Amino acid sequence: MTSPTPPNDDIAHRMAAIVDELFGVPAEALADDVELQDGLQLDSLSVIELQMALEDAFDIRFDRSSTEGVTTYGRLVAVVREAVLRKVRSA
Amino acid sequence: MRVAPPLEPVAHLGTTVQAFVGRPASHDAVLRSAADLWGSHVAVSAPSGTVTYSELDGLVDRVAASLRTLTEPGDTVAVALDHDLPLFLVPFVASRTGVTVLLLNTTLSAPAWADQLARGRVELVIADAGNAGKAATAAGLAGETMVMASEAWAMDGPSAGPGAFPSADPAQTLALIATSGTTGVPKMTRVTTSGLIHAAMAYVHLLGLTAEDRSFLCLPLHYIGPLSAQTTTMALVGGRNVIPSDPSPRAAAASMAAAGITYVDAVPAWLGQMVRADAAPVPTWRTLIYGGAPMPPETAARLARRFPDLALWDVWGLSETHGPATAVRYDPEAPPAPGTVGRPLAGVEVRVDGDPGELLVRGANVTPGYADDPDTSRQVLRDGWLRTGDIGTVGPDGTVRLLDRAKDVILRGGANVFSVEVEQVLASHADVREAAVFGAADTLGDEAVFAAVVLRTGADLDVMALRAMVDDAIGRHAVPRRITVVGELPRNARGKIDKMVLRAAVNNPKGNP
Repeated sequence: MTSPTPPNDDIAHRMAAIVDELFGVPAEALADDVELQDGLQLDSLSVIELQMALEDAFDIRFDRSSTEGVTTYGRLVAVVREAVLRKVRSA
Repeated sequence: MRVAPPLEPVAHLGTTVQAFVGRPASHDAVLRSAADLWGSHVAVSAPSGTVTYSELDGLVDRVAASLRTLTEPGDTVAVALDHDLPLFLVPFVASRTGVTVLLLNTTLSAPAWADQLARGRVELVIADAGNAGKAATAAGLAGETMVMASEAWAMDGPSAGPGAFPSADPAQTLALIATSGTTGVPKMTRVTTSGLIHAAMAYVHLLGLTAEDRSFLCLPLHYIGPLSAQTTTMALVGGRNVIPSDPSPRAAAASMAAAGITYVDAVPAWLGQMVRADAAPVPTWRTLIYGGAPMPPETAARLARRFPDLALWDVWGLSETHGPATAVRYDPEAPPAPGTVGRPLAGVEVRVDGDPGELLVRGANVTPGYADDPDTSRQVLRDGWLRTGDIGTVGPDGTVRLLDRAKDVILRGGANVFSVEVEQVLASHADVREAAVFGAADTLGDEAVFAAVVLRTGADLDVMALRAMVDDAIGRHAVPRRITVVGELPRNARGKIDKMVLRAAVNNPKGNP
């Protein structure tokens, strides 16, 4: 056993797979600085759907303050990582 | 049991319908009467300010005076205004000035606005600071003039004063709203003062609304729902409308509790997110109406559990019926069968052409037609009966059940997406041979836009390019949630694309090749 937390690239891989499954948006489009709404053309309902799919997939819960300022894909990956780490630490 | 309101026969659209006895003649009459009866009641509390009915009457007079400097009665103007007080004034200013107001949906793109400006044959486009850039682009594309709201919709200018405007026309078209028609191509529906008032009086009777009610305007004010169910009802009874600065479902419970909200009109998707969000109780909330899309049973059940004192009403209707045609109260002990939307409201008749077949609606709340398309108006309206494009049945007790939508329109988060329009945009890409666009549920149970495309031989799917094209041409709400490549599109015996097959493939991805 090396690390109790999932490796970062595993989280990113799983997130890319979820985005592909929901929206058919390929991993190449998921640059860190791409805007979820204006770059990937997701409407606000789709962003909420994505957040809920991530909550279910990683068994985490975002609070409003943690997702409010998240406009880019890179920030979303970071917020998921933080939430997963928090869950692992508190387990 | 509420006593049935008195109705009387009136002539409407070449037939006789039942209208409420004692109905006000116009929105101007409604507002003047509210200012007399409830002058000190708060009429609307909005991000930019709170006004009583007496102040609202004065505010409408000032805006009407500024609008009159640039328009004549009978003109049509378009407004691009944010969800705030100036937009709330539309039906009252329109009624006082005799001007028709085309309500631009602020989420649409400039080319989509330009198309609506041309269809509505507007004289002027009025925009607030937040929408001025896009409005100027759209006005330019349509060859129209754009004027800032600070000039043509001025809340701080001089009053016109008493007797400055002739008494309002009860048959006036107050507003134009983009809707689907029955052909899947956008049409500008006429929203009349008498149609809104009839719909609102039916709501007041059905829901028992009073001066004590506080209504939460979470739906955009350019939709028909809030115009009849909230703006007009509250003015009829002296109740209060509240325009939240953040209408999102996550913020709703807290701001509803703070404002003492009793009454909400919402769409099922919004309600689904609201009950999922971990949020405060809303002890004052008594009445909820929803429509526009099927209510997921689990959302209704969660709402009923979380708000045990809340009456939940599922409403079926269209822009062309000024909102409501039928309604049914949700009973958590005996949830309605899927598609059941209840019985017609007071003064409204529903019949079915076939069994099942297309549902037809007649009543004082039916629109006189489409401003941009008299031919379609004649096809859709015969002897006062409106062909709704919805397919269903009517039971022996008058209960209406919806089975399918005949028209090819997708309701995304409360906004109409016209499949034909999205198909045309997708098919304009060089790599796309053919496209089919259809509605299916996303994982939240909300209707979403899906597309299947057939590519030219040797071409690869460039999803991001297609998404960007739809975003630019129509708007974010119309961008397909998912674009799938297929070898060929499924067709029925008559050669028509079979969207039921495409929808089934989305709902059952294992069956997908």
